[in-house]
Amino acid sequence: MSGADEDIAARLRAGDEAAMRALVERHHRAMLGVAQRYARDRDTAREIVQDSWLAVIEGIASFEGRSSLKTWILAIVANKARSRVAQDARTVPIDELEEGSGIDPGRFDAGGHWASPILPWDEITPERLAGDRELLRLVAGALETLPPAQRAAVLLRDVEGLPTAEACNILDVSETNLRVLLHRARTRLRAVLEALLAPSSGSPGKRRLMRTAIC
Amino acid sequence: MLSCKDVSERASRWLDREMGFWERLQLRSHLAICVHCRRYLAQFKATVAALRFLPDETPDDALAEAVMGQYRNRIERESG
Repeated sequence: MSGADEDIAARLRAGDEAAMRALVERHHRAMLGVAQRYARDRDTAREIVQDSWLAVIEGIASFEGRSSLKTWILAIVANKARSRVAQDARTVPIDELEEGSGIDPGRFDAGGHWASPILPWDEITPERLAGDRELLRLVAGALETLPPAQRAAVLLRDVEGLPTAEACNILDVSETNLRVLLHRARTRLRAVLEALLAPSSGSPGKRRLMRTAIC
Repeated sequence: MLSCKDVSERASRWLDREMGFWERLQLRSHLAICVHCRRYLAQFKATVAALRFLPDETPDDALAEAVMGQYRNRIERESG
């Protein structure tokens, strides 16, 4: 068990409310994302998250750290969600997986070249991204526009950094399908940001954002 | 020769370092002559990088309080 997970688990067992509250804030988005991958109705997903917290609270005494605390919590959500929804809801809808990379085919000409130029966003470094709250708010908003299975894939792999095998188990998808979901999600997120950030997109508000966000 | 469309379809495999030697070489030859694909991949990478920095999303008060209530009950039962 990692030292940090061990410390959190010990504090939760000791009744540390601040630790509990911090845990809830830390994991809420990923938990809701996993619940929504199975239960598309938001109220049901919310109930699944609440049931999962009860299971976490009851189960923390027996958490042994064979996986990370995060993976353990998200696996609980997946189990609760699977027992809650019908069998056919466990299959990812075909339109989230269908052929193609999720990019607008109109971006290419008949020869497969860009039909219109890709405009630069200027330099974007991790340091700049980390400190740019307005840009991160846009990214969070873009995440909300993704279909549920794609959003869950990007949440587990790119936001939470879970290994592929663990993400596949939690989302009940093959590695191949996880790759498709992830690629389509990333492609869509880039396109959403492009519309907000590329210089041609126009409005004064957007231009101001460009200056403060990435120039 | 890869087309720009081929490059966009390989963006995740490129980012996740899942390409074999020849495929990587093909991609590099295309990037050497195509500024748009260089930008596309840089933007793709930046988008994914930004995801690591997202601030946590706080649950609404009703949910947070329900969970905290469950937690308090559990602790009281244990100590009581």
